[in-house]
Amino acid sequence: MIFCNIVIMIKTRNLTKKFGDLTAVDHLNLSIARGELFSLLGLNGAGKTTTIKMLSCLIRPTEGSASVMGKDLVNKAQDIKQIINVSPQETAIALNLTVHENLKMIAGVYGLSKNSMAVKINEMIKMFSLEEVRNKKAKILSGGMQRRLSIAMALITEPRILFLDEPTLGLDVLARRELWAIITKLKETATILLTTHYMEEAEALSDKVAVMIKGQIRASGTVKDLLEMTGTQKLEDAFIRLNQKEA
Amino acid sequence: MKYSYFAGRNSKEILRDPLSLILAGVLPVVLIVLFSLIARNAPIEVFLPVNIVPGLTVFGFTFITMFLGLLIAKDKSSSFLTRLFVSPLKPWDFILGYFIPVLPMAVLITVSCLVAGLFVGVPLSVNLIYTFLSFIPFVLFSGFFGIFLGILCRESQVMAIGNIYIIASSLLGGAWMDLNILGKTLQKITDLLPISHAIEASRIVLSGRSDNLWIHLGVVCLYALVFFILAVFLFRRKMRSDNK
Repeated sequence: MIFCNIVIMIKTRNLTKKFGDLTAVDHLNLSIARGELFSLLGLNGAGKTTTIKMLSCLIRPTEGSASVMGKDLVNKAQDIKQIINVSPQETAIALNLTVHENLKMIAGVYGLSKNSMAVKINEMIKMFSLEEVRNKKAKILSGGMQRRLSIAMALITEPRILFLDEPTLGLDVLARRELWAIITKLKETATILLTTHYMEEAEALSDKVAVMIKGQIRASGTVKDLLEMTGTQKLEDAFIRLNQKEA
Repeated sequence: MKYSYFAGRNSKEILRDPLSLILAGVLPVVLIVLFSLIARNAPIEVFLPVNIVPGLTVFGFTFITMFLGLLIAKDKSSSFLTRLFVSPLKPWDFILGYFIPVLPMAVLITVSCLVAGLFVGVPLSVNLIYTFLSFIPFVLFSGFFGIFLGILCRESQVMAIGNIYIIASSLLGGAWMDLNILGKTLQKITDLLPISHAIEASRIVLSGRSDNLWIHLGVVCLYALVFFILAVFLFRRKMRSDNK
């Protein structure tokens, strides 16, 4: 007997976003299960960030619908905000606050109690190796450390769903690898939707990948599925082939 | 209260910028002393302590508008505000979170100006407490106007509009210039501005008079209410923008 124990955390139905004449996201149909790390892979302008902005209740869809943990994206936005968090593409930290103060602020904004706040702050500082810079202002941190702090601020609230928008953009190879290790560990605690245009990142981290081209999902599945679909050996070749088909 | 953590961050932003504290606390006091010295040689009515002190205190509050506007515009230009828009904070929380931290600055301006006033000849009386209270509507207006500017404009625009606002307030508010010399047309314009009413109201209170006090305070309260509503409306719109 096979028990189907898949819980769908995010489901979109023809989710669309238009800005005037431009259709940034075009009838997107996604289904992300609990515990998955789902990557949206695409070039700049493919619609990845717009998708994240819709699912995190920052912008309204033009058409279509979506649900996050069964809650409607438009009508239950306030409920959804309590259970999600985002690490935006640009590092979103308070530069004049210390690492500790940044974490405390975001924990307080999400309503963590004083006791659990102190525990979680220490946990995040340890997880993201920020001990040495705990009391340093965020503006003096390196790009990699700022990005780690940004993700720590997303995670401290214990979100059920975490959106990571190009988490390693602009980082050097060492910083990127360190972040990959942390993101891999995050899978144990949250469902993750990650956007990237780095093939190796999608390959290294993802349970499932969706290739986004001009606002639409052209193919999705595991990396192995995509390779079989396109008859290629590497994800980069699969991606190029899908883009060429589109062209 | 969730907004209190956000307010804490904004307090630190303001307090960790020494220039803002110097401008807020020191500049009006320097001007009070300067005009009081001038008044010894040129006894013009507007330079008298009971007139110049409340005038320059209210003028000092105009810097609150600039500081708040710049803080919000800067947050907007980074992804920091985006991060907070995804959080459970509501528009009301943002307004409180940005406004509350300027209250200590307003108190600093008020106390330093009134204390300086005592040294230049303002009589010590209970009117000082009433004058302190009479500043509240304009402090509210200054904060909400700053929030309005910050959410509406880019950083460079806030800087430009803020500077124009401060200069216009200094010329058209009556802080150190008798508005009667402006002529009828400009006087009609000053009658529309909240700063002239705020200055006049605080002068009435400090002098122990009562003529038309509630009309002047009413105008300032109305402006504060209008910009509060606009600020909440703009935050609500920005948080769920179709154009972001």
